Amino acid sequence: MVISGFMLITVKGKTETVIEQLHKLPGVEVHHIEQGVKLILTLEAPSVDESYRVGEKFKEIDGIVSICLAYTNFEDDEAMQHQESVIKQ
Amino acid sequence: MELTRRSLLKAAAISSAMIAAGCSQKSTQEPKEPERDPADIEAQSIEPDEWKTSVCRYCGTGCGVLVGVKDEKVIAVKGDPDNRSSKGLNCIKGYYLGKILFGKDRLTKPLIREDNSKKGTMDGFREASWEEALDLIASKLKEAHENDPNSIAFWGSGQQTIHEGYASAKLWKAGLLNNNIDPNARLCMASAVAGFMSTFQSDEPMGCYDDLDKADVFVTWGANMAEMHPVLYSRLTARKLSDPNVKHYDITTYHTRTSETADKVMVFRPQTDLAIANCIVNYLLETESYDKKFVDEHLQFKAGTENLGHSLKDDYDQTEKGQKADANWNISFDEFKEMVSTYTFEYVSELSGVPAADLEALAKEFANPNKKIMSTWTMGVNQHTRGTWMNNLIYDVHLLSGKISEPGSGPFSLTGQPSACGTAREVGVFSHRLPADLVVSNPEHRRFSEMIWNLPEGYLDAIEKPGLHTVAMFRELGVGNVKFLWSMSNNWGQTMPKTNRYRGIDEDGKGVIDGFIVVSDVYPTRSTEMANVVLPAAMWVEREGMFGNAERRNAIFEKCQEPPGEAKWDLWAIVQVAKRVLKGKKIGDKDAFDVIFGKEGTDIWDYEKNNLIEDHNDVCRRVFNEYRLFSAPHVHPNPKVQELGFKLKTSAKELAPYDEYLKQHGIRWPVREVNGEWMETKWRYAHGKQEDGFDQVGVETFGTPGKYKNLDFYKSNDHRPTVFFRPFEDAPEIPDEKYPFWLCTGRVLEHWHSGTMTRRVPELHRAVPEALCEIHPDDAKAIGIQDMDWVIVKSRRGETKVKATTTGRGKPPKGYVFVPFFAEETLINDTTLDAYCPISKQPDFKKSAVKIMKA
Repeated sequence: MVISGFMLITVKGKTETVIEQLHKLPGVEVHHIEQGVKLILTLEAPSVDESYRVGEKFKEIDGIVSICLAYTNFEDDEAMQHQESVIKQ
Repeated sequence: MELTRRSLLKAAAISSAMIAAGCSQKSTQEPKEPERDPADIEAQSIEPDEWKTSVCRYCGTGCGVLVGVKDEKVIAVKGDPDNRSSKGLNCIKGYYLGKILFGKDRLTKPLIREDNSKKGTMDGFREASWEEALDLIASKLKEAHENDPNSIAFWGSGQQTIHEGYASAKLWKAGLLNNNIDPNARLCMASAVAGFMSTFQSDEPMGCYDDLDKADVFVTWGANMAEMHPVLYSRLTARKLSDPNVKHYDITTYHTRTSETADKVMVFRPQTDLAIANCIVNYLLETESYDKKFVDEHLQFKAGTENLGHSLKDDYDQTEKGQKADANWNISFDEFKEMVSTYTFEYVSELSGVPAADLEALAKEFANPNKKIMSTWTMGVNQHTRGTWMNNLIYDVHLLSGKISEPGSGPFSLTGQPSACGTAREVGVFSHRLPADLVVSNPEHRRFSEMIWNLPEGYLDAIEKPGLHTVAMFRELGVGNVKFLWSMSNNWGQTMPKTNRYRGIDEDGKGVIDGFIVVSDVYPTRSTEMANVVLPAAMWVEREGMFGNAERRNAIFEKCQEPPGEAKWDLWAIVQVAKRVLKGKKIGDKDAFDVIFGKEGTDIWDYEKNNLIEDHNDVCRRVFNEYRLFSAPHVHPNPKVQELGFKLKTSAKELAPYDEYLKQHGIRWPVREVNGEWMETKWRYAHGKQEDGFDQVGVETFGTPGKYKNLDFYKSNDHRPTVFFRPFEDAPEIPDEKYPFWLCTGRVLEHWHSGTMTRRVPELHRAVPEALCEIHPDDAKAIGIQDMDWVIVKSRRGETKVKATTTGRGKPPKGYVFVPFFAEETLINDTTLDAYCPISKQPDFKKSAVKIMKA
């Protein structure tokens, strides 16, 4: 499982609706709201590619001003290492 | 996945995001306690063995990242909260920092071309040992150099590390006494450099990213920051949200994502940005709303050669106009005022298509002494046949209004590559430069460099004449005069304008086929197709390095894992070639290699093992220690270096000792030691406390504190930057009946430059799988095309087949199309023009005349 931490900035007054939309996305959990507009959330997904796919959906949510990736651990994603064929070449 | 491990990973993710949000840990909700036996937790520690300091590989923003390494493999990446450029933030492309290392077609063995008839493809190569490849390169380099010193060339990059750039420049300039070395930054930053040098006599910006948090007005000039610099754009939008009075003017040739959040979008006819800047200047003078005291105390006025014509032919630089392109002379304020007086709002509105009221509104912002204004710009201004002039003009506006070098106010030139500033510019990997703003044509600059490089006095007189700039280098390769080319960390086979010539297709490009070309890269590209030898390179954290970003911040990235197969560090390859090519040569009475990289010089050669010193950190430290002497002459043991360095003011760019960069996670130069601490400078030439980010030491060393606005432009001639008169002159190729469209090329958010890395990431590739031609719906209708129909974009130089869209992110005006250059199968540069700014020599990728036909 690939786990990531995000900090999103929302438009004042739209934070709650943004959170509602975020919770509809697979693997997303909102943990904290800072200054009313900064959301701290985690995203769990089977791979980096799937994480990116979900992360890209943040852009479609009305009320998000910026998306910042703060952390990602991809130790379990086999695509995130040199393939045997490359190493042996 | 075990629940305990998952919980801990989530806690780590939350913690990093909290830090990035600037909130204290204590105020946060505690992450859930692990629900399993602590012994399990111990056994399944989620923590990498080590978090190593690094910076992002992609753009010029230079975000700090920490790379988690476990069992010598990269397993995690997080924003570096201690990096003051990004404060723990990364854009979503950070996901793929790790992944770009692991593409299935990484180059892992040297390749030697056996069949030259297959040049232009990846066929015709065989695998070779490094020994064989290096011997072949050295013999070809030596042969060409001995036959004709002008027949060799090196094309570097703003993606080389500072150490790699320094080593390649030292080998070429001091080792081979040759100035035919230039970076791909010539294609992106040269106009910014020429603008800085002509206006301020010092390269790189006055302000920094902190200005984004403090400005009242933002002006983007030819910059789609929302897609090209997303982290910085987040700061801009956050500032706007914090205060409803903050305004953003977007000056652009077509509506982009950046335009979407701007308060005023000013779409102008290409090239007329020159006139727009002039009308703001004219307004400030006509209404006497310029900063008079600033003018009196700080500025001088100049005019320069006009009617420069265009560098369409190979001999342009040798023509009378070409020779005098950068000539300038002082004029009075009144003369300047008279010259600029023709640029009324009405005239410029007619020329540019921007409503006069909008022009006036922007001019009034600059006229307001209480407004702090930050201008940002990138390729729209730099890739311009009058790019130097445009940079000068933006400075004119800020200088006349006194809006510069103060928190929240200043012109800020953004960069595109991670080390265009640190490597190409500060190290001086240009055909006319030496490190620390020094140039080859100045005898004192050469003397200073000779002393630091331990060369006999007068040795560098052989390189007093600048070498071939990028376009000239490839033109000479095309006609067969350059016979040996080594390119590193770039992709000229796709990104040079007028690619047909430089891929050996046009008649005047056949020399590319005959020439001996070495390409160092990590993946196969349109340039490795043109190579005779391909060297597989280590990338990003597979070696140690240092990048210098747009706000003068240098930051180290540590080595985190081994490169795959036989891929090697570029610096190792440079030194290995140097060892071979300098064999038997002397500098004075000493062995040439010893002076350049051995015991008489940089001292990075292990004589016992007959190889480069193995430890990357040791090599980088030694290279940096020597390089640092250029900007810290006062620590050199030779008093003559100290004296001349002081006279040349090279410490205006002072760098700190190497370890400080690791300790502080990047530092903005000039870096000053104050009370035993190394302190950075946020606002250059501004007197104030060094610990608050002002240039206290610089002003007190080279200038006079207490001048108006506490500024002293101590590197400028007479301490006065220049306000230049730079008129409107039209583009070299203007749409006409036969070729009725403007063609603009550029980047998209998902792909980095020529897509070499990002197109190997399936998700990024899926997000934007192909280049599209953005076109106005009325134009599409007139041509008879629907969305996603194929069209031919045809110019006088070539044609490119591409699908069209009227619903892309960009919304071009009628008579204008945009095509990105990331897709190697859509070589849009076959159609672009290789005319360049006569001063900076940077080509204009933004303005070609084309026709669009249904395919």
